[in-house]
Amino acid sequence: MARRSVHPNPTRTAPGKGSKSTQRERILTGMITAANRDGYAGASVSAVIAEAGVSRPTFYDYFADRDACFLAMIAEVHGRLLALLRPAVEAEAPEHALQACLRVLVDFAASEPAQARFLMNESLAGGTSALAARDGSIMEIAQLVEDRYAELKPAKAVPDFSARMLIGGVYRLLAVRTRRGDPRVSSLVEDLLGWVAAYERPLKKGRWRSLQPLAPLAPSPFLPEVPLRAPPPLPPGRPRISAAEVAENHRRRVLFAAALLAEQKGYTASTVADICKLAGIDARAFYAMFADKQDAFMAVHELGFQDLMAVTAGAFFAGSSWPERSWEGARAFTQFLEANPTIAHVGFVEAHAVGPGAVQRVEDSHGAFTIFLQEGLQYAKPDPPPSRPTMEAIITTIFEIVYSQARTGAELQLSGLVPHMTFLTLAPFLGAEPADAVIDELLAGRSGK
Amino acid sequence: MAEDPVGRAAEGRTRRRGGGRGTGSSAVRRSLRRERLLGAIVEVTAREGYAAVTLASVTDAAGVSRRSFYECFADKDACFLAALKEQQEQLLAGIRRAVVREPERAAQIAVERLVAFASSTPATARVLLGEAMAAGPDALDARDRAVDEIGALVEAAYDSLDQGTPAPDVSPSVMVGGVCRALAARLHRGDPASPGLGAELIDWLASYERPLAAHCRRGLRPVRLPPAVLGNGIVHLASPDLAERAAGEEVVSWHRARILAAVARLSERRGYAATTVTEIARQAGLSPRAFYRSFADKQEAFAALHEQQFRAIMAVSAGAFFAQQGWPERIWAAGRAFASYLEQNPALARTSFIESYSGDSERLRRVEELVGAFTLFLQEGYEHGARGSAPTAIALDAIATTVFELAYRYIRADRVRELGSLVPHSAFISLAPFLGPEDADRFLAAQIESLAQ
Repeated sequence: MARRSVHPNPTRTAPGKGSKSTQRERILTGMITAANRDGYAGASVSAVIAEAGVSRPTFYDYFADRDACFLAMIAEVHGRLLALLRPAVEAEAPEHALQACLRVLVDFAASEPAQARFLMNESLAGGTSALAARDGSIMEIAQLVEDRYAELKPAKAVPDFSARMLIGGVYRLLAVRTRRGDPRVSSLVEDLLGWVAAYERPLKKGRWRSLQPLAPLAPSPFLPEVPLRAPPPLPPGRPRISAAEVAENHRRRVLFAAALLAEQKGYTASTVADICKLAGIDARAFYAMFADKQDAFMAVHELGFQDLMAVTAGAFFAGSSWPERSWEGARAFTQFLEANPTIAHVGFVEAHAVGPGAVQRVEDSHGAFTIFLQEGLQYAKPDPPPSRPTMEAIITTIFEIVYSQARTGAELQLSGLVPHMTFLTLAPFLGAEPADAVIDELLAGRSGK
Repeated sequence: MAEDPVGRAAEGRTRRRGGGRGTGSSAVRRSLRRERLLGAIVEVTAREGYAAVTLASVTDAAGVSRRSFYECFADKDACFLAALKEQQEQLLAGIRRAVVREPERAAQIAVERLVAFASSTPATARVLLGEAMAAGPDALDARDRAVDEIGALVEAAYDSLDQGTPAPDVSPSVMVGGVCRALAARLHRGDPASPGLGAELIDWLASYERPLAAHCRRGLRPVRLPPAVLGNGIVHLASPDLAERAAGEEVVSWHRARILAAVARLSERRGYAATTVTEIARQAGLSPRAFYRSFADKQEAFAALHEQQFRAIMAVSAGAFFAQQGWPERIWAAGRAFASYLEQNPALARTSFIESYSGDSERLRRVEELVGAFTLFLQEGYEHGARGSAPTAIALDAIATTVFELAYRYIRADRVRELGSLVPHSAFISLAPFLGPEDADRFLAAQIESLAQ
C-alpha cells in the first residue's frame, strides 16, 4: 500500500548509505527493489511507489511512465559504474585496461549486488529500449578500453578479442550470479583474469578483435531439412486425421505463433488472444494445452533450445578431434540460427522477458552449451585447466555475439564469425597460437566439407 | 593356410594362377574353392561395404567361376552368412578355451580376445563387428546369436565360481555387444585398435565389479516405474498427410519433409533393403523425378531421415538432461526421457536403432558417430571423479554403445515398451565408472524411491 509522503523533502542531499535520499532517488531505489524481486514485468508503478513510499502523483512528477523510470535507473547505475571504472582504467597500464574493467565489474557485483543485478540481469527483460541502454552501457565501457589501447605501441600484448563482446559476456555471467545471490562472486576475478590472459597477443598480430566476419562457410551437412515453421491449418471436414494429430497440429501452430509474436511484438506485449488469433485456434483449445502465455512461450523456448542442442551435437561428433568438433558444432549452430531467425530471437533476445519463474530454465539452457567444452579438458589437459567460470564465460560471450547480431533485426550473419568463436573456445585450452594454427587448418582444408 | 580370410583369398588367387586344377579329389577342390569364396567375400566387403558387393567381385577376388560359386552357395547373402559363422566360430572357440582356464576373468577374456581380433586383423574385424550389421536380418541374427553365445560362456563361467568372486555387474551379452560396436566404430574411423585398448576396457569393466553374490544389474530385472512425462516443448516429426500444397521455393522443402515421412513409414514396414525409390515417391505422393530433385538416391534419403530421428532423440534427451541440476540427476532424467520417447515412438525406435545400420561404410561411420554423440552427457561425470582412474575415451564410447546395445536388443525383440523398466540398469552403466558401483546404486535407489511416492 502506498504511504503518502507527509514531509516533502526539498533539500537535495548527497546520495549515500543511510542518508536521507531525495524522492527521485527513493523512486529509483524502489524500482531496483521491485524489478529485482518481480522482474521488469512486475516492476509496475504501483509496486515501485510502494517500495519507495511516495504517492503516484509524485512518481509522475519525475517520470513519464514505468519505462522512463526503468531506463533512468539503468542510466543511473551505469553512471555509478563508469565513475568507478574510469579511474581504475586510468590507474593501470593501458594494456591492462580490460583487466582493470573486469576487476571493477566483479567488485561492483560483489559490493552492490542489487544494482549490478538490475543493470546486468533485469535490463534483459525490459524490452527494446532497456536492451539498447544495457548494450550502450557495455559499449561505453568497451570504448574506455579501446581508447587506452589506442595509446599503445603495436608490440604490446592485449587480449585478441572484441572488448565489447567480452564485457557483454561478463555482464551475462554476473547477471546469473547476482540473480542467484551467489556469495562467492568476488572469487570470479582470478578466473576471469586468467580467462582473458589466454587471448593475449601483440596488438599488431591481432586477428579477432575487430570481429570482422570472414566469408560465410559452406553449409553444414547436418542442418535439418526444413527450417522450423508452422504447419498449415487443417483442411476442413477432416475425416482421416486422428484426434492426436489434430492436437499436435494445434500445438505446433500455437508454438510458432507465440514465437513469431515474441519476435514481432515482444513477449511482454503479446497476449494469449494475439497468439490464438495468429495460430487460428480458439482460446479453449489454447488453454487445453497451455496454462498461460508464459507456458506457451517456455515451450517455444524449449523447442528451440532442444533443436539447437541436437543440431549442434550431431555436427559436433562429425569431427574427429575436439577442436574439429568445436568447429563443426559452431558451424551448424550458427547456420541453424541463420536459417531460423525466429528461434534466434526467442532464444537470445526475448528469452529473459519470460519472467523470474522461468528465467532459471533459460539460464540453464544457456549454460548447457558448456557441455561442448568439457571434452577440451580431456583433449588438451591444460595446466591449469580452464575453470568452470571460464567455460561459462566462453559460452556467455558467444551468446552475447549471437544476441547482438539478432538485435540488429537484419539478416543474421553468424557463420562468418565461426573462426572468431572457435578462437574464443580453443585458446583457453590450447593457447592462442596453437588455436590459430588449428583454425587456419580448418579454414584451408575443411570449410567445404 | 592363413586363418584370416582376407589373406586366404589372396593366397587362393596366387595358387590358382600358379596352375590349373591342383591336386586332390573334386570334393577337396570344391572345399578349397569354398574357402576362397569365404575369404573373398570378407575381403570385398571390407573394401566396398556389403551393399556394394556383387557376385562378380567375389568370384573375381576368389579366382573362382560363377558356376563354382553356385555349387557352394545359393546367393551372396548365404555366402556372407557362412563366412560370418566361420569367423564367429573361430573367435568363440578361442574365448571358450581361455575362459575354461580362467573362469574368474571370463568377461575380461572376452574383451581381450575381441580387441586382439580387431588389432591383428582389422579388415576382417571391421566386417564381422561392423558391416555384418548392415547385411540384412539373417546376418544380424547371426551376429546377435554369436554375441549371446559369448555372453552365455561368461555366465556359465560365473556359475562355476565361488559367489564371493568379484565380477562386473553388467549383462555379459549386452556388454560384449557394446564392445563390438565400440571397436567397429574405431575401425571404421580408421583408428587402429591398439592392444593397449584392451587394458583400458578392462579398467572400464573393473568399475562395475562387485562379488557375484551381490550382483543386481546383470540379470536386467525390470523395475516398474511410472512413465516419464515428456515436456511441452517436444515437436513430433511431421506427418505428410497434413502438409498442404505449398508455393514457390517452399515446395522443395515440403517435398523433402514428405519424402522423409514416407521413408520412415516404409522403413518400419519393409526395411531399408526392400524399399525402392519408386515406392518412396509413391508413398510421398510425388513423382520419382521430384524425389531425385531432393535426394541423389535411396541411401541419401535414409541418411537424412536418420539425422532427423537422431536429432529428435537427442533433443528429448538433452531437454531432460539440462532440466536437472547435478550430473547423476541429469543422467537419470535423460535416460528416463530417452526410454519414454522410444516407447512412445516404436516405429522411430526400430528405424533408428536397426534400419539405420545400412548402406555403405561412410553411412555406417556416421551412424556410429551419432551413437557416440551421447557421450556428450558423460563428460560432466569427470567432475565427479570419485574413482582413482577416470574412464578413457574408449570407455566413454563403450558406455554409449553398451546402452545402445541394450536398447537395440529390446527393440529388435519387439519389447520396446519395456525400455522404461531398464533405465536403472542403463543409468548404472553410465554412472558406475564415475561414481563407483555402490554410490551409483545408492543414488538410483533414492531416485526410484522418490518416484514411488
